Amino acid sequence: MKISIDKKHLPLILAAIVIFGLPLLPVSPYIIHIFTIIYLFAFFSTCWNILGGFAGTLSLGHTAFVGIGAYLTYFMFTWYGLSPWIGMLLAALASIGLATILGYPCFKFGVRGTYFALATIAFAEILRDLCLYYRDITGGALGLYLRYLGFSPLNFQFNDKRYFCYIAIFLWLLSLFITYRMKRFRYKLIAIREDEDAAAALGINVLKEKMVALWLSAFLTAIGGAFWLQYYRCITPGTVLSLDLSIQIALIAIFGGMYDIIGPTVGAVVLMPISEMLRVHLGGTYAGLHLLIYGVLLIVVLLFMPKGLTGIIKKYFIRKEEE
Amino acid sequence: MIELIILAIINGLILGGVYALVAVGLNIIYGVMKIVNFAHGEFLMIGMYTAYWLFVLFGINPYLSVVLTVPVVILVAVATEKLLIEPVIEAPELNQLLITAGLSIFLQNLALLLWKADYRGIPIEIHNITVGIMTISLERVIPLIVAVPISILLYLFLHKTRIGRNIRAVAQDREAAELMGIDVKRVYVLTFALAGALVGVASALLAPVYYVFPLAGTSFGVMSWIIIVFGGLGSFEGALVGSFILGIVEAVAGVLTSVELGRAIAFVIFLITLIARPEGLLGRRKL
Repeated sequence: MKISIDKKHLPLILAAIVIFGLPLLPVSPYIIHIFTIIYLFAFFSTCWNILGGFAGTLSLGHTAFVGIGAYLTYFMFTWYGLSPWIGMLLAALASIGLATILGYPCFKFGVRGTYFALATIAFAEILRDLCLYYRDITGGALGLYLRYLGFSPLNFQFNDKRYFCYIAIFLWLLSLFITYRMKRFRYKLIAIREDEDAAAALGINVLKEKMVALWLSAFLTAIGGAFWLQYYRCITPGTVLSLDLSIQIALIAIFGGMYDIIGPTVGAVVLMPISEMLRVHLGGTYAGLHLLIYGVLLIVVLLFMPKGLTGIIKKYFIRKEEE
Repeated sequence: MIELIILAIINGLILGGVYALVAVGLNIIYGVMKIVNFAHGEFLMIGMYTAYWLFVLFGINPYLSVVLTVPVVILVAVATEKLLIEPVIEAPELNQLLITAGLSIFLQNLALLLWKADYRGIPIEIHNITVGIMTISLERVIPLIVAVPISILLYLFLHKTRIGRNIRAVAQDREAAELMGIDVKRVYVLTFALAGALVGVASALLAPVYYVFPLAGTSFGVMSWIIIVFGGLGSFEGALVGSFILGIVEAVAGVLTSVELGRAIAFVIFLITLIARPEGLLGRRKL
């Protein structure tokens, strides 16, 4: 039997070999950790981008969905012994409910742009305050620690970071696949981004499309939150419910290029290793340095390259073709 | 219980006075340039550190340090306007918001790098005044006492002076103002300088009674954009009224429940206003 490979599929196959092969290399757990968080944040930002990039409805409160995914999965596991694999789906459904409470009135009554961004921040802050207030349940600012069970696939716990890395890869590919396949939906969202009133005049149900984008984004982000819980085995309002996380997710997408499917991934590949190494190596002596660099990057990107890295790459290649 | 609530209302008024100094400036910036300055709280933090270091290094009374905190914060505000805001004045408003958010993260973490996360206090003598059964420290009342005349002065400045009228003209219609020969860019710089001056005053008044730390300004910054949406974006009176109402709400809710829930209630009020009455309490009235 002869296996024939179409030439145009070659880059894809090579990419797959690199993606799936890299974690198998005999490297330190630290390197595997960096791979894992690259994929995790590529996933978060791709999910964010469904709403923020395509629909142009910028959320700075996605940490709320991460938090709800993480905390609910924890409660269902610790209180009722429910496997996180099922728990995270239920938590993600709860996240959809939460998104509806915020999104429906906002979209219905035309809270757009800056106002929506501010509303999402307020929403996430309310959750964080509630989490701090009900400290008997949530552990307050100290957070919660997940019981370590060793290698227990049914309970979403592993003794090797590689398993987590592959799950993160799966999540990331899933988010890419979804955003890639939803062509019609994507074009509708882009039409809404360009001009909401014109899109409505063309017969697009703006409210419905924005809600669906928000639901999809919230659902997937909550799954990512559950992954966070299982991976770090520790959740605190300062991590999974912090404004910093919301901004980080948004920044990665904006930096990479929020107008492209692959943009958030490019952003995560470039930014995550830098920020993680700064945090680990210099976090002790120079606390805040990695966030300081995030702040600077955010400013520089918006001043000089509002279309992100992929925007610059595209511009460069299109110019080359013209010559 | 009733005494507690009365005391909470008084505390709320005091808090409202501080909020007013911060929020009015933020709202003038919004009114003139349609920009929500996310880094406003960080301007306050810089002012507070200025007062703190002047006290530690030179023993200058924090209330006297106002002569230096004001120019320092004005400088930071004007630099922000010139370097970051002016290049994106025509850009989508979300980009403007994110740029100021980036600046806010930058300034917070710069302070963290330079001065660590320590909570620093200025150890000055606190004078207590007792009215009936209630005791309040004079130092905490001073911000309220100062905020009122400053607000009146600011109102007169905006309405009676030529520069003030120019600022209001740009807020009403930028293009028309430009056609009337007003230098819009200069007005932008003036607007930021004005807001910076207010924050500078607030920081000198706050430094003696609050802790100084890298996130010291954040809660004031967040609270002040809640206030301006609640009071009415771009409205001078709205920011003033909103400051006192939300100050009292926060203080009373804080006494009845807890600080966290008090904050959460303020956020809920903000969300309801945004959805049900986006023009705010006094939105029709402009600067």
